[in-house]
Amino acid sequence: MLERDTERNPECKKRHTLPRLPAIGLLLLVLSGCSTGPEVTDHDITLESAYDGTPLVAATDAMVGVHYDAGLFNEAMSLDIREGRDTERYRFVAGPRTVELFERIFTALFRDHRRVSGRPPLEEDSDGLDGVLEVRLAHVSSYAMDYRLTLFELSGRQIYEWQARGSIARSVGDVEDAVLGLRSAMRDAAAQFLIAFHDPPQIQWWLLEPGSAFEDAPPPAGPF
Amino acid sequence: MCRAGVPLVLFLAGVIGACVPVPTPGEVDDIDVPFFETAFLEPGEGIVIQGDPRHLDQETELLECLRDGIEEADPPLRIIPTQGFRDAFFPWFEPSTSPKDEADFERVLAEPRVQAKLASMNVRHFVSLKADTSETEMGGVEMIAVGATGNTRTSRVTAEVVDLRSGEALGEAGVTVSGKQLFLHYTIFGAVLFATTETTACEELGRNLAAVLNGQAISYPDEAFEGRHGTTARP
Repeated sequence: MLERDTERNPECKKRHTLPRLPAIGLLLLVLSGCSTGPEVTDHDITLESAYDGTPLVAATDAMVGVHYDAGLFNEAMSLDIREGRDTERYRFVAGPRTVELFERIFTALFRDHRRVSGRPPLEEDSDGLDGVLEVRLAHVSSYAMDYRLTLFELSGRQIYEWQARGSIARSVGDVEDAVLGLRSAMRDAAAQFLIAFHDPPQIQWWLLEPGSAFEDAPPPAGPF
Repeated sequence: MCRAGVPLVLFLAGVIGACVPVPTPGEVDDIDVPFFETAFLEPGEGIVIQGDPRHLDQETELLECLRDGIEEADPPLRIIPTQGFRDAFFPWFEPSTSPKDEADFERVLAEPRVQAKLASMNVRHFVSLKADTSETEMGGVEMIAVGATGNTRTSRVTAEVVDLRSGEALGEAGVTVSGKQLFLHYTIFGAVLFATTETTACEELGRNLAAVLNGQAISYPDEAFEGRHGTTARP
């Protein structure tokens, strides 16, 4: 059929004698472009150490059990960076660095501390402990880390809860920005806790009589 | 090939030259650096400079800029790196715990460990930096895809100096710089602003602050202030 057409119409022959290899190449290129949709690639980023010194605070005479809430290891901040049609999704995991930072803080703040498996009453031996401190990550977002630290008596009764929220104003640019911002927010939150630790009257009483309840405290000497 | 290359070159030139700022470095409108008589540094004493630690980007740029001015001091000033200072004094100088006023400094300096660390590092002054820039549009001309706009930028950079031996705020030094900027651009692209006035202001502040902390008079030629507002306190 083709040969017959070309015999009758030389123009037709000209059209069909165009080099076919580039056309096939172009077709393949177009098809290959259509065959894949936008891709999302996930990356887990573990933050750098936020602090590796010894805090300038006075140690108390208390010995506490420390419980890191499991949620601490699940919460993460996500940052999507578009590259053409594809997305690179970075997930910043704060748990391990939070534990590392608070371990340093508790080493400076308490006479001694050890990890326990949960909130009191404890299943394991609680000998020597004056209370249990639980660390939770309530919220993590763009450069904000919101921690809750709760001190319990060994009976399970709550003595006090601190809210420590570190936040940094930083333009969300790239991965390096996010790492630096979260690191600063984490440090800021931990610093707030350290400085505010001694302030509540419940804690001042607990530090005087570790293991006893604030309600047992004698009325303050007046008049005020 | 040649015909195809011309539009390509033009397109690339357009992208590269999408926004061509023509900034002026700015003129110093006002220098207000009190001659802190009790601020002179003894040999070996150092200063630490902090911007707004909640705005890390801005803080980094400001610190670098002020340092450029201070580095011209003779004799040189000892500047303690900001992050190293924060690490050494953790948790007292983090974004939300850093002292904001004299009462805060009094509380922090009452900590025996802080006092001991200050003595061992021989840190004398805490310099707190702030920067503010305002803009006034001058209008512009747009012709199809090409245009020119301009604005007047006024930047003021201030530094509050606190003596860490006493916690006393010695005062605030400031420099104001204004300048005009012209932007030539292709309208399909956004403009990029260069904060040249801020750079001039903080470098100037750094130079003057360094002179004062060294116990020297500010050596600004009088004619430099002709027709401008300016106050320099001399010893």
